[in-house]
Amino acid sequence: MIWLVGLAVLCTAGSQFVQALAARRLSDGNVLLAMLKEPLVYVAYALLGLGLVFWLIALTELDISQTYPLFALGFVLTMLFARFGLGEAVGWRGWFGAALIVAGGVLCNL
Amino acid sequence: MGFWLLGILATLLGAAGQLLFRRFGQSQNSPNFMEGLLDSLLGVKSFDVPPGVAYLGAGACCYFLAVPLWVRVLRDLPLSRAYPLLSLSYPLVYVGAIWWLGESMSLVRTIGTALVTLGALLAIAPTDEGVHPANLRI
Repeated sequence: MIWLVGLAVLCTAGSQFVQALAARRLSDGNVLLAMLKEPLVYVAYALLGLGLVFWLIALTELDISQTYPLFALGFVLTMLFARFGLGEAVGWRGWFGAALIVAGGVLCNL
Repeated sequence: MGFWLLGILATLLGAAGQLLFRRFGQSQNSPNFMEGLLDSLLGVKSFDVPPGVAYLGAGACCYFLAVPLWVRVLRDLPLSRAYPLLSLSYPLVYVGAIWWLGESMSLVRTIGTALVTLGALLAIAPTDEGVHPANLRI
């Protein structure tokens, strides 16, 4: 069941990457119209919905006090993507925060 | 000040949505999720309104209402000042899970939740270079 939480976290974080990509591609003017015409917006929604389904199935068996903290791993994934995918700088606070999130996530799942 | 109240409301709504989703999960007694969901929807096991679906519906309302609230908050507050509110959702969900959902409290999970909250606060704080890459989530 825990692998479903992993999939949910991946889908949710993936949706956020796609949202960021979509936002960069939006032209000025009517934002709503531009969003409706942008295919990536639909990909973002599909990923979000898929993640929600995985999450709901996982919650039929697993405690939310155990699994919800794992969603913070999305921050870590975003940071890794920003650093190694986009070449953006990540400061010590970011890495320290990421380490705390991983440690806390492991503790909640012991 | 109004933006802060709205941000807190959005955070509370998001946490309530998560707790309702878990309450829905607890109400599914079938190990097969789809089968349990179909049973709930069709009301096979009782002629009353199946409670599980009510929790799912209420959770979805909270979850999807929180999104436009956040968009409204982010229009007036910089990301780096608004997002620390998001890390509040971890202790909120934890406390709610123990008080309302009857999940067991443990020292390890309390420490774990505290570490995740602190980590999220640090990870989404603005860096010296300006806005943190984690804020690329828009």
